[in-house]
Amino acid sequence: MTAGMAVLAGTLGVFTAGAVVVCNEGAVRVDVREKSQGGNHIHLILPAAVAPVAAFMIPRSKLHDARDKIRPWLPTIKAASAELARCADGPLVEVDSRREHVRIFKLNGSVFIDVDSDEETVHVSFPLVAAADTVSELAR
Amino acid sequence: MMKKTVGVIVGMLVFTALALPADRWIHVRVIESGPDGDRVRVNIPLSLAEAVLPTIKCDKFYEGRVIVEGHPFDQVDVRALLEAVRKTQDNQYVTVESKDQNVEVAKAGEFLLIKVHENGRHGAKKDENSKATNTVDIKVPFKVAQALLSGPSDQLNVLAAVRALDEYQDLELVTVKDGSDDVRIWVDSNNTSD
Repeated sequence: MTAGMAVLAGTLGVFTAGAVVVCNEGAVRVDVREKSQGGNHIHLILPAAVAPVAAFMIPRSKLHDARDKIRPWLPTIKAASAELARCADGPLVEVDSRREHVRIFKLNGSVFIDVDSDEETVHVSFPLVAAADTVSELAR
Repeated sequence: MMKKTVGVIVGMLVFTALALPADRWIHVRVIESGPDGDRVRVNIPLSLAEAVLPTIKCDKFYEGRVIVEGHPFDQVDVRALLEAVRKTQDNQYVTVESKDQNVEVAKAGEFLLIKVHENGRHGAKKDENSKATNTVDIKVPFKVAQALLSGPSDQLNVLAAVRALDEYQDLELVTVKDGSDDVRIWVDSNNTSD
């Protein structure tokens, strides 16, 4: 094996290992679609492993007083994430009204939030393992 | 040999699964009648409530306890009253009958039962609405009530009550049947409402 091949194999190995870690952690998904004509559509998929890093990268000045508001709830978020991760999958909250349908459920270690209202549809999902770490970074 | 090993492992896994206590869930279901009526279903594992309640620190909520100072209950020794009822034999202890509503408080085994039966709506005309009766049924285990009142006199220990609730199998806690609304709060081992 030449030195070039060894470097290539090493690089591929690192990328593969990174990809495996990222896939195992799952992804944070946000999808917001406004129903009005010409309404906005935001679609974001972020590997969960990267979410705490992304939160870390946000300039502190942009977070304004969000950090102060989040910080008291950090222990609650951490406790809820850890306990929910342990619990069985299933629906947690279901709200059906004439104008709005909300579903919050846990499936395969992730929490899914679906909202379908007259104005918009919102789908958010995040792995529970990433939730506490990401919020911790935001509150730091 | 291989088959035996696999059989033993499967047996151990099944035994472990059976030996582990199932999660207890508290369910809240609110259904408004009519085609446009709202429907709300909430399913929360009791273990989640137990883990989260101690971490919440708000104005009147601290370490799983609610501060209820200034409440009329300050004037009555509810704990002593509850203990006295718990020690006596099963009976219907309070019956209040009035034109508008009937209230019954009874003891049945380890449970405190409260029934409120409202006869129609105040000021309702003699139409369909006047026939609508509202009923509230509350079934509280004495252990849970005692746990709730286990803190200082101006506090309700919600965390202790949730922990006490964990000891019970299927338990219907609150049922409210209004003319248009149906509210049900219960505890069981299912992670879905119905």
